[in-house]
Amino acid sequence: MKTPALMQRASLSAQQAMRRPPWAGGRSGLPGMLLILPALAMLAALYIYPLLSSIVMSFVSDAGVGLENYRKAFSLYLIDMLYTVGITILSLAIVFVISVAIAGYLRFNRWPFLNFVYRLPLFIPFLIVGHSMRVFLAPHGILNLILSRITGIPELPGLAFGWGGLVISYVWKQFPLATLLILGAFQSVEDSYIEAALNLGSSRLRVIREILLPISGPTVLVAMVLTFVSTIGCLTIPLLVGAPKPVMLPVDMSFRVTYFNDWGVANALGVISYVIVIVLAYYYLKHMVREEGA
Amino acid sequence: MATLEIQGLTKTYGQLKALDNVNLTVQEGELMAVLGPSGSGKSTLVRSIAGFVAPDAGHILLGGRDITFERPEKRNTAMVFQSYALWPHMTVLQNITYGLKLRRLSPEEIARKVEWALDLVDLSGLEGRYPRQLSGGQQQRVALARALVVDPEILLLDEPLSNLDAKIRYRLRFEIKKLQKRLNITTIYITHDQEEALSIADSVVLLKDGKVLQAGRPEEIYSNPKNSFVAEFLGASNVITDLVLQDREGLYVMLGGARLPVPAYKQPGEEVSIVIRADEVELGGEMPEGDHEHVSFSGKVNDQMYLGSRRRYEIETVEGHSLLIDSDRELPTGSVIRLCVDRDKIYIY
Ligand SMILES: Nc1ncnc2c1ncn2[C@@H]1O[C@H](COP(=O)(O)OP(=O)(O)OP(=O)(O)O)[C@@H](O)[C@H]1O
Ligand SMILES: [Mg+2]
Repeated sequence: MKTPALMQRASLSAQQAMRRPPWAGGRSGLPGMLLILPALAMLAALYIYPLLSSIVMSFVSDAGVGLENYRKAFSLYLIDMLYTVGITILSLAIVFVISVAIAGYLRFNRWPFLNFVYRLPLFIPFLIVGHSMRVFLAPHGILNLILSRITGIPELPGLAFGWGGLVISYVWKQFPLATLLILGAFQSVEDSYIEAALNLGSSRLRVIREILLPISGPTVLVAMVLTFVSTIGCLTIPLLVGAPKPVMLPVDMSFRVTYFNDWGVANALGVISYVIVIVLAYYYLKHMVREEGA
Repeated sequence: MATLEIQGLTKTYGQLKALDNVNLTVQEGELMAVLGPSGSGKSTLVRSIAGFVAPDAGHILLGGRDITFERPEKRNTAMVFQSYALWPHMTVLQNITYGLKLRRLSPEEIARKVEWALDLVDLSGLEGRYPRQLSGGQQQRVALARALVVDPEILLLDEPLSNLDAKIRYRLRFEIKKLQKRLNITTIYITHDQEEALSIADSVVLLKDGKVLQAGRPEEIYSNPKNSFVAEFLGASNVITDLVLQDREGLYVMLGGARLPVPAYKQPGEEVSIVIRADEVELGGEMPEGDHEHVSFSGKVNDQMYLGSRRRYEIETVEGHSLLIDSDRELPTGSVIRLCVDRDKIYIY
């Protein structure tokens, strides 16, 4: 059935597609460079320079150049590092489940109210989230008042000052952005892909898992990376919510700087956060590639 | 394999009736072509059979079972989409296997069925490719294999060939037909190409504005179009409108100096349509005396176009009507000639 003429035509049109249209400029676009120059300069000044300087400074301490800051960081804050990784991964997992569930639901059903309401936390600043969670989840907070009424148990432990409250706050603040991104990706998956699966007997849950998620893979990855990075880097929420010990790394960093003026260890902790992100992203990607190959 | 019955199916979108009291029966093993212009409700019809459109009224029975409100995944219909809808993240093999995995078959059974399907559509060797690495015709076959491998009760094809170029389309249409007969599977085939519909269908349904205009065997519907729209849609190139005249002998209309009787349900002065197919008129020559089978009329050759195997002439009658007639005769432009046509090949509505 594979007629040579047919294949020839296919490869021909591929070549045509790759040829640049006549109105497209040359490859070395000076105008293009000039256009992105301001953005590049901003990026260099606001991001790359501080990044490099903090990496350099993390190796400089009163004892001179060396690993002193890292030694100190690990001896003082190893528990906090593990705690940070654990809390962030747990929050990420919950955000993933909630945002995929909402996006999946909205892909199949029209519900304008849900579509509006889930976005609200997007517009509430971290500080307010932290504060209101502190009030809402406190031992005598609103949640416990309601739960006491329902269960009849008078004194309930508050979630606000433990890891549970911290995770709830992170999730509440982070899931809307992830949902927004994932829903956008789900919406752009053609109906016929979904209908073809349903037609063959697939359930909606399976369609989400086996059709929508894989096709939206890159966007889901972006959503998860953004969630992870903004959770691990958030200072205000863990300042207001969570146990006094252990704490998240940004709290330790702010503590080093505010009370000890110790920029060296703070920078070392910062670099350690970068490394955590990079290592986890690497394992995630490797896992994804293995899934694809299977 | 099962008989499909559609009873009084109606679907409205706001003011628009996408389906308007549609009644159809597709017998077991029959291939029914649904033909109609764009927006006539063809897709809405198959999509409601597959369960993606909830009808406002009416019933759909598949093998005697009422599936009108059943969920799509429970219906056991198999649809082939115009865009093929092959999942881009799965290989050919994964695409075809998907429906089988959902049915929880044993790995041996799955392997056996996949091999059968690949063989059926002649795709062996391409299992590992992704859809983007296939030509349009190959993608079409994968879509067909994916639909057939699950052993559906009915096959729904929504313009399955319209994204392909003419030559491949021509070949694939007969392949689909052969497959369908071999598997003896009840099939609905949507198309807006009348030739495609007439050439492969056991029965043809013509839809317009959500209504069934005519249904029947291809020969039947081609030789007895119910109205001028059906006739025109089935490939009549000439639809002439004129006014009904009356004399002692009854109602008539004039064409090229010949008198054509008009059906009695018409009123004098009313508009009437005369439908003549381009290839059913003979150009030149005289009709034998006393021949009542044919109508002879005259016209002037206004223009002509060379089409390869024949010529297409534009003929103007004395009434000022212009007709397109195909013939293999060579006639000079400007000449006045006689035309001859079978009496029952002139349709008057
Ligand atoms: N979801 C919808 N909402 C509103 N109107 C719709 C919807 N789906 C279809 N329609 C309308 O219903 C009518 C029939 O549509 P349908 O897709 O069935 O036509 P079709 O015969 O398949 O046309 P085509 O040959 O262009 O595919 C059209 O006028 C279309 O605009
Ligand atoms: Mg359609």
